[in-house]
Amino acid sequence: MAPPSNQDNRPWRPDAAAADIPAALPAATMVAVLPAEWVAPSIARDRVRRWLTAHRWSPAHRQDLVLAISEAVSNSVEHGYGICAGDTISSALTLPSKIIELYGQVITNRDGVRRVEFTIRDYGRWAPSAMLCDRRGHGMTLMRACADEVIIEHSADGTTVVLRSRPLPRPPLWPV
Amino acid sequence: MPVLCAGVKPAHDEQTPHGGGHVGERPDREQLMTVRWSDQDDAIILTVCGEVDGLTAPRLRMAITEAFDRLSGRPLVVDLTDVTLLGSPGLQILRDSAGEAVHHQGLRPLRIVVDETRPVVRPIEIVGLDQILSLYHRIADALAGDDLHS
Repeated sequence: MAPPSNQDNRPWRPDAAAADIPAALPAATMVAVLPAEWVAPSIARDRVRRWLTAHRWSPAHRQDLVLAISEAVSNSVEHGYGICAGDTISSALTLPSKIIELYGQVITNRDGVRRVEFTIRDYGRWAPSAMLCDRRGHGMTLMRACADEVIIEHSADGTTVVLRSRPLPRPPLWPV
Repeated sequence: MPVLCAGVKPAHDEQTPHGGGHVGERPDREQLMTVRWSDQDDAIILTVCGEVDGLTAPRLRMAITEAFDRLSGRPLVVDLTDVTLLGSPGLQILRDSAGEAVHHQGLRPLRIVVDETRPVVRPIEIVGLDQILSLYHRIADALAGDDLHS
């Protein structure tokens, strides 16, 4: 099994989002509403990457969370709304109810330890991938490895996934 | 700062008045991932750049399938050094391609180049594909066939 990300000292590649870090930390919450199609994971990754970079989340933790969220949103597209990779859907045909909601919240303890919690919600009917798209999902394995806690709730209205990050010390004074 | 893939841009959206994010601009698939094809005497090399997810993975699968068909005994080298995100659809392609390479043993050798940057190595290790794939750190090593495992 791969080591926990906070002990993983392998080199990382500075990403474009690291270029502009604002002086002050941004809002402790973020919201995005994504269309139920395969463009959604890339939009979610971009938003979360920028937000966590602005919160000075460490690169290794940030990359893990971006991957976990990408997988959660991908699951909503594939399992929630039954769209297989490679299917193209005209945005004009996308029903208004076919959306994926993404919430993020940074929670800071009194001792300065921070966690971030993401909620990914869809309004589709969950179906196993083997039935739909003929593939074994590595998504759950990636999500569980890249987050401290993964909670999935299915209901008649859709699926809610909560990803809780590993704890991180207060924002560093040095640039990340 | 390392050179990032030219032409690969992140997807963008724009804010709606009520504070939620609404998609205003859809990224071109070509902007998220590129596959460069190099037909050489001793190998076919596919150089993948950018993010491999459900949107871009079908193009990578097509490229690998087409390359397999044109190998004529040469190895297929897939260079993932410049991949910045490798999601489950990409891992699935690597697993399927490794299976196909084994199925046509000797005829379809598949060699994967990864450097030590986390975005590529970590997902491969998490799902255990490092036990299945023939991994190399450099293209030269992949062409020579000196497997990391050996």
